[in-house]
Amino acid sequence: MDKISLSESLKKLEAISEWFNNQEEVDVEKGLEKVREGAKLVKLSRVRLKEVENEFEDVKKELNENTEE
Amino acid sequence: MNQEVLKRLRNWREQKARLENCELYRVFQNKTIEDIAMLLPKTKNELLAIKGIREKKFQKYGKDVLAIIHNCLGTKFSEDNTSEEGKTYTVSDYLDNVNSKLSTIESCKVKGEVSSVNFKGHLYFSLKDKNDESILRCFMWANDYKMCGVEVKEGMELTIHGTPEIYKPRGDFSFRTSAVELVGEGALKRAYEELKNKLQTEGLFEESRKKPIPDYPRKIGLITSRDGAVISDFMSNIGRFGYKITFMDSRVEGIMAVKDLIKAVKYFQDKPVDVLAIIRGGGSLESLQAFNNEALIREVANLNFPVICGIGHDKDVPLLSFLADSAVSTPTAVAQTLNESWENAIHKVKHCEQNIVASFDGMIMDSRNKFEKVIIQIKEFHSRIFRIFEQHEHSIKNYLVMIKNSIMHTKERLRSIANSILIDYRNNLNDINRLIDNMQKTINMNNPERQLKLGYSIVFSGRKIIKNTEQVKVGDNINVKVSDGEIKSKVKNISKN
Repeated sequence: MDKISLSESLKKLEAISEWFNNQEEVDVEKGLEKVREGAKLVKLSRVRLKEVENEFEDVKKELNENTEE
Repeated sequence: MNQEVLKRLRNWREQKARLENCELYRVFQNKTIEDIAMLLPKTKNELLAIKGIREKKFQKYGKDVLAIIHNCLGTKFSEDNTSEEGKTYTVSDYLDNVNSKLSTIESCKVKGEVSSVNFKGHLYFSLKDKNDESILRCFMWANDYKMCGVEVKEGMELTIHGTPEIYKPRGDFSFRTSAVELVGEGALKRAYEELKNKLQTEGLFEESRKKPIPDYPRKIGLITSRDGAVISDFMSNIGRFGYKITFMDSRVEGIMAVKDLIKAVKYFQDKPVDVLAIIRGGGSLESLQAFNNEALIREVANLNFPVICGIGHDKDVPLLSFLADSAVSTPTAVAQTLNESWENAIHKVKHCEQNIVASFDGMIMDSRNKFEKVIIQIKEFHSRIFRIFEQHEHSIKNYLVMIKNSIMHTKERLRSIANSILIDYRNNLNDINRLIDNMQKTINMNNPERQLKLGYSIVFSGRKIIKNTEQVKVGDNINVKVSDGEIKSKVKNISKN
């Protein structure tokens, strides 16, 4: 679960969201399971997104330095 | 050997031979002269003891020779040494003795009219005195007669040259004639015209047989008299062109001149000369007789090298001048003719020198012009190169500016693209963030535990969630699930809305 990419986690989140939207009858346990999975995915995605943003900032900084030269 | 005696004897022999018109050896041979100079005889007997001297020679030359020796030695010469007093001769010896004495009489000229002529192998003729009709019997060797160029006829007035002698076979007195000359201008003129016509008819004066005087003659044969101004004129006018002049002395006037001239011409016959010059100063027809002599003219005609004559004359051109390959009237003109090609050569050399200098100047001028032209071309070429260089420099600068602009533009574009990418990506990230937020909200909203915490509960009938009244009936056991557990219940009443 830790090695999943941001793109995959987002896809899974979308699948969970869709799953919820399609449920006519609430399966509490199943729903709860989905919620838990989604919560984990959200957390992972945020962590991964933060990492990507940090890398992005580094790249941006580097890019700005190069173009100023 | 006494050199002084030898020298004097040689001079004396030359004079004697000239006087007698004979070769030197006829007087004394070289060996005889040398013996005399060696032994220095002082008496007749001593002289007769020398080989080559006999009574006849002694009679003729003995006294002269003894006188020379005594004179050189400073001793007294007495004619007693030669005295023949009391001697008895044979007829022949006596006539020899008389003839010897007669031969010491200096050769002389006699003038008279020819009274009789007889040619029998040699010429026999008589000369008669015009005034008293005295007769002189004369004899002439055929060779001399042939050489004299005069056909002796009765009535002709002649001057003859020779010596007296007694003709031993007959005991007659006779005049041995060595040369004959015509007397009187009319006779000379006639003989001149006759010979001229004869030689002309033979073609001897034709231009076609004349040999050209060669250019740059070096070896010159010269015949003229040692005495007189003619040779001085010639020598002072002949240029210094390295001539090798071989001179033959000859009498050029008088009855004996022909023999001298022929002898001189014969001397040159086999000599390697480039041209032979025969020169003499001006004179009348009579004085130039020798140059109208047939024998001389024929001798000259046989030479195989060119002859130039410089004989001055009044009216009648000497026949030798007609024959000559080139004829001028003065010795000076002969010298000038010989000088001509040399002087022309000097003139040509000077001319060539001037031409060379002028041509060289011209070449230098041409070269200078070409050089200046080349310099101008080089300057133009350099200017062109610099112009081209400047053009290229300008172009390169333009290119550099263009490249710089292009780089700036590219940089700007890169920056722009980078910014765009960054912004897009940021937006993308933001979208993802929002998406995650939305997901989280959706999940939160769908979290059953959250609903239960809000006070809602879920009612199960068995394992099914009860969503309407139809699913149960009174008395059924049902489970109510709340936030912190389950409540087991039983349906007591059902009421519909």
